[in-house]
Amino acid sequence: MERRKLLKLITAGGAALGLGALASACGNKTPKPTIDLSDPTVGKMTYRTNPRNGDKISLLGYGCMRFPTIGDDKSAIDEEISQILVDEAIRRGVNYFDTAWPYHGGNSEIFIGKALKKYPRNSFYLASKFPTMKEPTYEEGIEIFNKQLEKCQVEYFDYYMLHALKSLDQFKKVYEENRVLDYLIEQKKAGKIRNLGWSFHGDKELFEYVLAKDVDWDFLLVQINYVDWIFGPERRFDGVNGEVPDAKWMYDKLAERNIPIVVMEPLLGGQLAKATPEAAGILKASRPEDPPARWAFRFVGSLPNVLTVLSGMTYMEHLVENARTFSPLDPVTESEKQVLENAARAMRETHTIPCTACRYCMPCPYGIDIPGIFSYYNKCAKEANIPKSAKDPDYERARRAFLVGYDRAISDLRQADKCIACKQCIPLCPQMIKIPEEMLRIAKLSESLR
Amino acid sequence: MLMKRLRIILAGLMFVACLALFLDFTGALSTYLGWVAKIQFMPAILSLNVFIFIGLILLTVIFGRIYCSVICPLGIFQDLFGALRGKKKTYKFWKATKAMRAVRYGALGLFAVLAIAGIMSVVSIFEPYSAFGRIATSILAPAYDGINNLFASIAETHESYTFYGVDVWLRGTASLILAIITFVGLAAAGVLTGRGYCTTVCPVGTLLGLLSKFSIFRVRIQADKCKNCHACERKCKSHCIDLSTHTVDPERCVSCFNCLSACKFDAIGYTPSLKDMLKTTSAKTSSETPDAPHNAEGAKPPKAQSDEKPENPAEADTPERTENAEKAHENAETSQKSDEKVQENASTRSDTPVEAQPNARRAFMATAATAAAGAALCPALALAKDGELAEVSRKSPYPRENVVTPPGSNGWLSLSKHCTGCQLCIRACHNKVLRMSDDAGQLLRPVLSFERGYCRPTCNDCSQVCPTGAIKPISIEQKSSTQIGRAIWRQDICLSAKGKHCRACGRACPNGAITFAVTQTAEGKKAKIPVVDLERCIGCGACEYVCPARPLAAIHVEGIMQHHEIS
Repeated sequence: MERRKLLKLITAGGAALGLGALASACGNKTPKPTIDLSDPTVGKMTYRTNPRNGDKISLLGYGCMRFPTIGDDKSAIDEEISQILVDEAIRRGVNYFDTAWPYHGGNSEIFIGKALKKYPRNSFYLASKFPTMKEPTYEEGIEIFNKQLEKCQVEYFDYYMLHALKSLDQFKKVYEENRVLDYLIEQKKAGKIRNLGWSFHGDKELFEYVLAKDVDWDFLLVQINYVDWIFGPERRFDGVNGEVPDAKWMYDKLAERNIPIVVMEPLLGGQLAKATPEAAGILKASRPEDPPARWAFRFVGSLPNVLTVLSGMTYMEHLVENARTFSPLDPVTESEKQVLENAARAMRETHTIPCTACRYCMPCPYGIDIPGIFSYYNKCAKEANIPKSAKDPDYERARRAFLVGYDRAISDLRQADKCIACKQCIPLCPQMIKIPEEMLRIAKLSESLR
Repeated sequence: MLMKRLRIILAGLMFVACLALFLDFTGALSTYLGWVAKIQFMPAILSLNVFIFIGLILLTVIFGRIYCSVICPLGIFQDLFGALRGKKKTYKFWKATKAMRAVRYGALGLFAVLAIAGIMSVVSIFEPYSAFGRIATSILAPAYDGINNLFASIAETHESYTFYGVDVWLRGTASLILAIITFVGLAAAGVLTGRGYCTTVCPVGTLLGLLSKFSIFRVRIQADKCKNCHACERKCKSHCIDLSTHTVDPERCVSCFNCLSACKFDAIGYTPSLKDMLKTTSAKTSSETPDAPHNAEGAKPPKAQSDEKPENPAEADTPERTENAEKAHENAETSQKSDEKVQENASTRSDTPVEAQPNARRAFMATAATAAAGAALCPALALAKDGELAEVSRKSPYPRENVVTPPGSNGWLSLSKHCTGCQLCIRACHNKVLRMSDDAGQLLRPVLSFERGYCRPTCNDCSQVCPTGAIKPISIEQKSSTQIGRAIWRQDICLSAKGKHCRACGRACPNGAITFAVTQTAEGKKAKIPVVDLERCIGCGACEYVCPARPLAAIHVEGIMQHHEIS
């Protein structure tokens, strides 16, 4: 068979085909073989209309916190690849980009400004956030806001938020005492902010306080995903806090006031994309070809008051998969909600740490690599969930060696046992992880393995 | 004489080394001969190997385009064709040609622009090292393997296992066709003109030629000694000798020293500029009628050789004869190709469920090999008569949306910029996974396909041989945790989804990324379907390789733009 094929090729159409190949090689000079231009979902993106001003926003929004980076330096965005991602997102109909002051060590705003420069300003919606955590004074606030416009190379922000409201004291200090909120409202009047809102990681008291303020909030950025929705704060098995509002409670409050919602962490920091085998089995039994992430996106996308769902897409395959999920959206049915609940229950069994690697806790004043340690711990925990018999022994050996090497990759100076429990990180974590306690647990575990 | 012999010996050694590197299928030689590929011009540039790059530049600035004569395998290959001319010693087109700067500079400029723009596919069609690699892997290697298999089968009958058989199969149609075109073109250039390729299209040659303008050592003609007999011109492979001015175009001269031995009047030398200047100054005045033999009035005939006819080709025969013999042997190899035994070691796993199709009594021929994605399930396995073997065919390559590139290459974007398309990795791949892409955008780049094997966790050979750094060395440990693609499952053609008991993909997965979930078939029958953990899958293709669905696998690997660590 092979020989015949070979001979046939050599004798018959050889030369002609060769010329054809040459011609096509010369004609098709873009090294872009992997983007499927004939994808039938392109151009079918679902858009939501903002009831307040008629903005037509793609249901998938691009979160600008997780661009690919060069090496391990999180502030060194790989601009070449990221530009390809942004272009592909726009080609697939994404028109909402969400950045913030601290993302990628401040480089996210600069990059997205550059990346969107070639598109007409009215063809996309740019969102950024005021860095509450820096607790700036009024003057510093003015400086920061203008600097942000400059970094993003725009005249105005379409959507602008008070970033990561977490404690009432901080809110009062920054926005009331330092009058930053007044300044931002002025900017809205001046047209430099089209929609003013806030992003939220706090407790019920703060939520109700800010919502009740005499400000016409245009939108809100809150964390919604099916695990949060079904279990509420309960799912934070290590950081349970009775005051933390669950996603459904927040959604209902906002729906009541007709305030549109932008959703963050629809995948819980990517964790819902890595469903446990058990949970994945439940989901697959219902929709065999759908990846677990699609379920999570469909769930939040099906909520009518949601304006857009943010996803920080690092890799092209994630972008393509997510865009397909929303092109167009196939809403979850009632029976599918039951499936999701079953899966969510199965998922609670894993003992991984719900860190989303947002790095708000960093830098730890004592040099601990908090997200690095959690990511390493989660890798090992998941590895232990895979039965040994399922693996090829050669692979098993190499993978183990890799994980041991990864352990060494976190310098001993930055490992969990160096945590002094100063607790400075606790209020910074939007996922309410009790970081010092986890560090102690991981330190003990790794000590027991030595 | 001495210079030419030295050149031939060095070139011969280099060519044998290059050939051995590309033809050896045991993987033993790459450790010792890997440097042969690394000192090539294009690989040195692409891998940013500063030392080699500077070395080659210095070599050229001192000695001229000697690189083209003794290092470049394609150049030496062309000389072999030139040697084929046999007794008729003159090239068909031997007359000195114009410099054709427009053609050469144009080609060089075009290649530079394409290379800088990252469109390497087109560049590697003409880049000499890559062109040689293409010929070696696509044409010479199958012939070599065929002869090896012949030896193996003969030896086997005498109970000797010195040789062992290897599979011979097509690793890229476009690549083979291009190799044939290059081969024929090269043969024609070699036989008819000598170094026709090197003095027209070759971008590396033109670049080195520009440097050679400043070379210290170069071939020089002493006008006072020259009899204008044209003996040197007849022997010149680059047609760069201008007897009207008694100059040699340093840009095109490849320092082969043929002219040195051709000259009977000792008028041609390979000397550093300064020393030679004095001798050449008087030459220019007397050059109006180049064909007249009495032109160089002032010169006396050299004492010893005055009686010899200028065109006597007595010397330099021996080395060229050797080349001839070598070439003939090679030709024999090529013609053996048609006779080679194509050994199909159908090494399908013993647990491939032949009995998974109890009701498929009829032998379905999986003829629709070109079936588009979405074709109905064509059962690969059908039972023959009782006690006989069931018919089974090889799967068709899956029409992937995204190409899968080797571990260490960091995805197609990076690969397409750094790869020169020499195919050394393809030859090194023992798992029969790598092949040359036929895809226009990824032309001549190595891609993975899993009809004959999968990318085993124990192997990183391709990353070890790559001379350009397009596939960076990757440890086995790193490889175990690097995702190069993601296994995508298709319900419509999966046997298991149709209620058949098949667990092939789950059993083959080396890292336990595939589990099974219970679901129902369209008819309401209970079925188990594979669930791939996409965050754990590394894209090795084991599942695709063992999948019994035909002609396309029901689970296949889709490439990703950037390789990354799995979580």
